[in-house]
Amino acid sequence: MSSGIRRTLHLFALTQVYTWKSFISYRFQSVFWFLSSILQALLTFVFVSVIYQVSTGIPGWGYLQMLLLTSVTIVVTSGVIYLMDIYNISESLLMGNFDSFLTKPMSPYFVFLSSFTGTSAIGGVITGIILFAYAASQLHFGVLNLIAAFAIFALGILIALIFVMVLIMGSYKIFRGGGWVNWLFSILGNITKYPLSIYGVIGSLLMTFIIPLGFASYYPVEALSGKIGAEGIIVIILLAIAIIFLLSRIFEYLFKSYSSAMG
Amino acid sequence: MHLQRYVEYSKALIKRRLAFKMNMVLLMSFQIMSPIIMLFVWTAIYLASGVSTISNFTLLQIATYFFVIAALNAMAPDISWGILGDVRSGNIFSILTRPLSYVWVIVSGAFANILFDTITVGIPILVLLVVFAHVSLTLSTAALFALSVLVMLCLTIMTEFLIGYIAFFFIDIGGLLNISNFVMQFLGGGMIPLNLLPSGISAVTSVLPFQFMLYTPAAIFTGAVSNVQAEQSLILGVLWLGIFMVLCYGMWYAAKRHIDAVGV
Repeated sequence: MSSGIRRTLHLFALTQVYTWKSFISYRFQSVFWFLSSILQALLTFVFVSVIYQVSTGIPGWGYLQMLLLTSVTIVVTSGVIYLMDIYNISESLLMGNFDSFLTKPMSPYFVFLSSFTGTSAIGGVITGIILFAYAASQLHFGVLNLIAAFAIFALGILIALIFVMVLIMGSYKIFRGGGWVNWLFSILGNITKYPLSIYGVIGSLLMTFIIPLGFASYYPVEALSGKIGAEGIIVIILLAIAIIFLLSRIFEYLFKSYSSAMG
Repeated sequence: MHLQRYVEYSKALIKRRLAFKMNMVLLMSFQIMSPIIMLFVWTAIYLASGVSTISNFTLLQIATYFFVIAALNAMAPDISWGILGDVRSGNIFSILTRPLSYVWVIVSGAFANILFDTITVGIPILVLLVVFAHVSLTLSTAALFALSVLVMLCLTIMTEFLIGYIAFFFIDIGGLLNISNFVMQFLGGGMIPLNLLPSGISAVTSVLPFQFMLYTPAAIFTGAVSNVQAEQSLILGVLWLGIFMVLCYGMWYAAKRHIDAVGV
């Protein structure tokens, strides 16, 4: 492991320690923030369960498969908010506080991922993982399916993170604000809780190429459930890599053209 | 009470809302996205199930239901976060030193927001539903719907006050506000119509006040409940209003004695 990566990881761990110390210093409040994050995830579980109780559910998707999809979406959306509290970043950009991070010798990716932790969202991540474990324990997957799903999921998480970074910086550049990105991300999270197939061809293409959040939840679950063949998996992985490359170029361009709100 | 002062305050708030036009357009667009997602989800469910009704709801009714919920959610005022902000910033002291009632300042602010959101989001959605979803409202149903919206707004304001007053006793109640919001959405039928819930939960929600915050007006508008059922339900809603009024008065009295703004 190169010293650069080791240093970055060490710095990340340090920022996490201080963030958590700050979070739990108000124990009573932190418990409620944590519980609210769990409750939000659990209500999605209740919603899916009720749908399958009163109907046959979404075509082509059994209850447990739907649970897999919603749990992965919860992990992804909560995970992104945990690493990047969108509202705080937008506020920081607007108020000029963001500039203080630029004086440090860190990559822009590191600044975004380490400096604005949405601590309470960890409750959603944990609840999502528990729901996923429950659904996965009732289903049987091949080892290759698991590996493929994990590979797409890892790439999908990267796509989701860089996509949100692009949204935040793009919104700041165009509107000099970005509070709405938080709302938008919440809506996109709701869209990806359900199979993209229900939105028709246009909707599926939109959530794959223009708003590529489908890579983080829908395609991994499809791969896990064996709904995509080996060729399809390779195509998705290659597409994901291409999208990561494209999004990172856009983000770096936006970041370089950043001008302070206070300057 | 100097009504004119509060009217001026409401006008100022509406002008401030109008100043952020882009924000207004985006908010309207996002409000409409949730029911659109639900439309896709329930269309897939109805097509797969091959049935015309699920728990008394046709596909058109359930789609209409979620659009009405979006309109009601847009109209519902958000007071508790404002109270929390006033206490945390210490702004509450500045308001209390003025010759104004804090409660009425908040109510006039809520009124301004209700008026603004009803005109810009609520009414347009409802009109579009009448035109495109062919919702045929009789005069009596429309009157019951208007009454249920009034009960909903009053109950929401009082619930928001009750939760907001907790900020007087604790430093940060943000997490609690989130929890209360999720609970109100779920028990109010914002996520799923209450009659679709398992019978045990549905029976419990039918006596709680949360149903009046979303489900009852939406069910009246979509025709999922008869006028007689709606009338009986609204009597319970008015009873809850009385209970909440007493609770609000008691909480405000306790909060005033405990006033201690943080000023962070």
